Amino acid sequence: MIKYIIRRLVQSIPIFFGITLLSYLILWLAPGDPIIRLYFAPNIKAERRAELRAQLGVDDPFHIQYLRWLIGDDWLRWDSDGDGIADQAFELFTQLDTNGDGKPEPPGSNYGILRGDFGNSFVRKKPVMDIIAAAIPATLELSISALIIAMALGIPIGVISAAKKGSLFDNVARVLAVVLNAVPNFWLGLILILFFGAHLGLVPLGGRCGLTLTGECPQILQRWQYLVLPAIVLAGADLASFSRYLRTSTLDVLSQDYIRTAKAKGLSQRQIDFRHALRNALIPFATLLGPILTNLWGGAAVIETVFAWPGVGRVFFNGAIQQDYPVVMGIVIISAVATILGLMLSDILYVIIDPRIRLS
Amino acid sequence: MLKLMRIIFIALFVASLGFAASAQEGGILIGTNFGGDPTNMNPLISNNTVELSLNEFLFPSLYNIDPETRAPMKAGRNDQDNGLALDWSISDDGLVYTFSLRDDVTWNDGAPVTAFDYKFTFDALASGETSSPRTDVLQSVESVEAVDATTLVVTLKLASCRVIEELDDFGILPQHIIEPMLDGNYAEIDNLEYNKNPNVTAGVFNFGALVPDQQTSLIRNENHWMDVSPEGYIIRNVPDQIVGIEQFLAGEVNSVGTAGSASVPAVQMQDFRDRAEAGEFQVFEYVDDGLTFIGFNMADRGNPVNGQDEDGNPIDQGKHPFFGDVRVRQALAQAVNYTDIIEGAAEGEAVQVNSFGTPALWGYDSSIEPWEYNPDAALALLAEAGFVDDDDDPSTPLVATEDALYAEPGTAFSFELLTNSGNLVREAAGTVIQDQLGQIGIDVDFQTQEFGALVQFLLGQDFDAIMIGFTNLDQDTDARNVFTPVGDLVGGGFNFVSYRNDRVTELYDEALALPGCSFEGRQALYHEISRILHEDLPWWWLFAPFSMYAEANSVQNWMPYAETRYANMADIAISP
Repeated sequence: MIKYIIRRLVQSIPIFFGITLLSYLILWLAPGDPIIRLYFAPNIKAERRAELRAQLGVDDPFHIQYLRWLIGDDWLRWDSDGDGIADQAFELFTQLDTNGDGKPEPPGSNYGILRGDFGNSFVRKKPVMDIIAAAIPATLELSISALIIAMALGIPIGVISAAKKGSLFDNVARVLAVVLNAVPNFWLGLILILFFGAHLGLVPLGGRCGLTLTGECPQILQRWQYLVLPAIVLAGADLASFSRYLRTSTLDVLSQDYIRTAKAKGLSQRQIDFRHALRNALIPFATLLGPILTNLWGGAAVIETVFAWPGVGRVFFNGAIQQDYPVVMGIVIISAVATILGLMLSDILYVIIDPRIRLS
Repeated sequence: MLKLMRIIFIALFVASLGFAASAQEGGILIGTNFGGDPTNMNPLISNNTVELSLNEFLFPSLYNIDPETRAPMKAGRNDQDNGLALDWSISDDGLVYTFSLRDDVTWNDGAPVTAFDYKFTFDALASGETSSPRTDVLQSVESVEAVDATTLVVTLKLASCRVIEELDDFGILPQHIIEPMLDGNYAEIDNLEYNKNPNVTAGVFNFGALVPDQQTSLIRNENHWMDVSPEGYIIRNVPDQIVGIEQFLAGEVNSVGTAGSASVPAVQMQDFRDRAEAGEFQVFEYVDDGLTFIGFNMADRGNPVNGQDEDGNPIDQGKHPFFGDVRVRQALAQAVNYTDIIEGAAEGEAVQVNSFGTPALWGYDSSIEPWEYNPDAALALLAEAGFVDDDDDPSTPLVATEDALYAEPGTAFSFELLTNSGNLVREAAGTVIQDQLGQIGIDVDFQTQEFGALVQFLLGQDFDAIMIGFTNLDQDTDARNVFTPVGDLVGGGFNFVSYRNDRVTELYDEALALPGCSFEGRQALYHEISRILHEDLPWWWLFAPFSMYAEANSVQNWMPYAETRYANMADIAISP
């Protein structure tokens, strides 16, 4: 098992670098740049925009921008004699005198993501990690709430559908699952906001907390009404998947010999369904754990935007619109790591739960 | 498990029944913003609408703008004035401005606001080390000196009638707070924690809190000499305009948009008007200070080059086969029905403009008759310019004859019109124009582009025609960066249409350096420029939208002006 984990981790390294390279390339290829978006006005001169572009380093060639983000500028240009001025450089990638004023600059203070420095946001002028860290609680709050709803409803619906295969309940559940999977959640979110919020006035029209002059956000129980709609909408697609998945898995289990034995021993249908069938039907469910964990982190971008929920997804959305490369790349990298680890965790859990499976 | 499901269902049902949307707290002004958080409230480097809105309430300015005339206003004229300058004088040669500042304004930590604060702020800007975009002023200002706490002397390199406006282009920073943080390095201004938490300010409100992606709040400055009634001002971050409107209608916020923006969309203006008449809330309408236009690329798009070299000598840019000829541009201006465009695209909530600017600006000449729909005149002009219908089939494009100045004979009159995707007004206007030009034999390939891509085409001067808009135009309509060769820079300049008219350049220079800088004199010069631009049509002048503020009835004594939503903050009271 340990060998397997180590091998998977080693295999993940090129995948990780591939993701960083491709993601950065896609961002870089996007037309325009953050300076144009921030300073598109006739009274701002081309020279000034060029200076601002140079300050952010977005006028450098792709490979320099990528390497600076990846390994930091102090590994591209460094100070070997400790006088605070860069005196050595990988000249293939950068120059000692980066601003062209004839004098070398200090090596720089960007250490790159490999050393845990995600850089500063172009727009918010704050460390990317601070921005992400501030948004994580809101995202987890929403995602976990949605997951609880999806599991609490999806699992029993799937089991009951299987136990009552072909019944009205089963048919309704299957149709609803298809509908929930098919309906775009941003559309459903807007409709629910308009109906329950604007029309009926039952819930607020977005946000996570009430408005206060001090900006304080109370405990979740005192502001649950903000969470209801986004959590339900976010749960919708997972709920449908879980119920379909459990239905199939339970049907498979119900045809096993030991279920017939349980019936022959005179156990009640409820005991058979929930004590024997459900437990075994949940084993394949472990494979979903990886994607679920990934979704906890980044699966709510659209919902967060529709409901003005101040989570990581909204930070990502705004960052993409503003071409705030460091912010977008920070979230992409964390999502990539979460996905790699989540999938590996799924594989490992599967082995632990089902001893018939061996990793090789 | 079934029991659990029942409990969850019941809980959700009760939850949905039990909540009633909370009304806003009494005494707090609450607006909405869908342009992202104010990420930088330092008035030297803040840039977007919401940041500038907040600056207005946090930082002192050199002078205030008269909400009626939009002209600089000396302090002490009325109690709404937050400007520092009691008076100013200009030397005979127009190169030295001396300001006398009031001595009774303090920062909220008790320190006085002085001429030294202004000098410090200006020097930071002049260092060029900050990311401030407001560097226009540096073209004409040689130095700023604080003679004493209340006397400021500004020396110019060259006479500039715009300098009075440019000197107030930024709020004033507290030197005693900021300077110790810099360690002599102005570049550090960009990275100050103060930019996100400006705790020492001198406006009617103090900074409260910024909750990312949710809200920004200001709290009444109890020590300010102006006694404002609202306890605070909150700007709620909403994902889009529609949500902001719905929150207003639901009573969650009491104004639409921020202090610096009016956000009732055109499609809802009539409904808002009707409901305001019925007493549901209050609205205020005005003509916006921005316009929508189509830029004609007059140069050869296949070989974009700057308009002039480093010595100011013209560079041959070639000519666009169609738009290089002014008769073609004038023909197009008469080939569309502006009523159809305004009704069809802007819901009728706009006014046709005749030249650069809008009726909201004093440099705009409202006496010029805008171009009128006259397809016969358009066809006649096109024929004169060498474009004719060679097959008597109106469904095929006109073609160039030997008479065409820049198009090869036989060239079909077909061009590409670009605009930014997602702007429904421009998309609709483009469709109307495409249809109406098609009726006279001009084939328009109308395309929408993502904004970043559009700007690349625009600044790269790689387009035929482009529909776009500018907002927040300066009052005096000085647009030398837009209509003279200094702005004709491939990749970055705003004279992206490569317009050159030496008389226009002369008039801009004259207006800039007019002895005495008389308002009437400068206005007359701008009006002359307007008439030339009207005829030359470097841009196809389309429309200026109407803007509408909306406030809940709970906002009492509200007396807005165009572009100045809370001109009388001292009188405003919020009823619970």
